[in-house]
Amino acid sequence: MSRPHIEPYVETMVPFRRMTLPGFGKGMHYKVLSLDSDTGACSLVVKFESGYSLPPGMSYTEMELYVIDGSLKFGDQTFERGHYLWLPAGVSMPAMSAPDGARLMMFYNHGEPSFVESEEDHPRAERHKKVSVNALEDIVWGPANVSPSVAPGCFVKVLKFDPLTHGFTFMYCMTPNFWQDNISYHDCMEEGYHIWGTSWMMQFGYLPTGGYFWRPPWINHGAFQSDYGCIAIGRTDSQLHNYFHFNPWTTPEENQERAAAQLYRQKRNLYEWVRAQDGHNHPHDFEHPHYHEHVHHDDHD
Amino acid sequence: MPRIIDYEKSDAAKEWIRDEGAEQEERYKQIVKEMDDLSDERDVWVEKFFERIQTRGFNVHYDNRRAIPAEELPKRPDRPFKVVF
Ligand SMILES: [Fe+2]
Repeated sequence: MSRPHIEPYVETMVPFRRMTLPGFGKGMHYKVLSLDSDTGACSLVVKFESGYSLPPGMSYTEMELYVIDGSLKFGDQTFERGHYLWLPAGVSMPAMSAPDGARLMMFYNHGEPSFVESEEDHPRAERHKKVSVNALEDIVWGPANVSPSVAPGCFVKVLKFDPLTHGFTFMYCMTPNFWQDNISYHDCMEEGYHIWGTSWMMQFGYLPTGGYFWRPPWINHGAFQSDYGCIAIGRTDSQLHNYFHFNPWTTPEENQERAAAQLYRQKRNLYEWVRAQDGHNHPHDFEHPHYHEHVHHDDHD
Repeated sequence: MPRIIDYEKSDAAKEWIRDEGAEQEERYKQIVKEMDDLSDERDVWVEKFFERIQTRGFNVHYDNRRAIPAEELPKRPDRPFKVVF
């Protein structure tokens, strides 16, 4: 899965485009925020016209959805503003409609947007992993539970946590007059979209409502600041560790070297074992013995 | 754990990916240009950042801060200051 570094990108001035991919019918409009041009995996802002509807059906890839505005009828449920849904690949959705229209974020994680009519799950679907929650009402803001941590005043709600990769989807907010004077990078991808409000980063300047980034690993971001606060949705593809420093001019390669040096200091035993030349660097997880095969299989597609 | 289910991409899907990919390349170039245009302002931001971490302090962890001595500040390397990669 690879996408270019898209940062910053403000979608508000860009027009919506009619969705023409098979299955989605009439009345769906979208803007691409970022795209993997090998697989078609993408993050979209989507607008459903009033009265838009879809029959029961599934997506070939896992899909995440967040209701920015409006509401969505989802079978006999109603997803109001702030609703978050994570659907594993092949899980059949009930009939869906937006009687009064809706604006959403949609993330198709491993292939282009797809919709196939079906009232049943695909045989390989893992329905039990589905997540459906109202992010604004059902979860409370808490401090980011990582060390080293972001500064006080940045709060997080975890919407979906992957126990295998520790990748997660989350809301984050900055309180008014938030500031954090360090430069951060990660060894994971990080993505963010401002639902409301403006924040500032020393590299990219001001990110307003509708501002977006898709940031590959090792890229410097920060210092951080927000005058009046902001609320955003974010995602990573694996565990988020904050590598903080204060050198604005380092390259991703230098950052990567430094991360490895930290790993050597902080997880010395694991580092030594993994880098051994005698074949130990194909780790086997007794709980998930086939995880590698799945990764390779999935990445092929 | 299938994150995607095997299927054959339609021609329409391939075309969509190609078109959107081409647009994204343009978007990327535009971003690089906008970030280049911000260079002078960014240099001022960096100077102010250095002032703040020497006085108010550098955020080490949550509310732990450390005032950075002047001699620890990095020297600007002799290469373009890139922020988009
Ligand atoms: Fe980050």
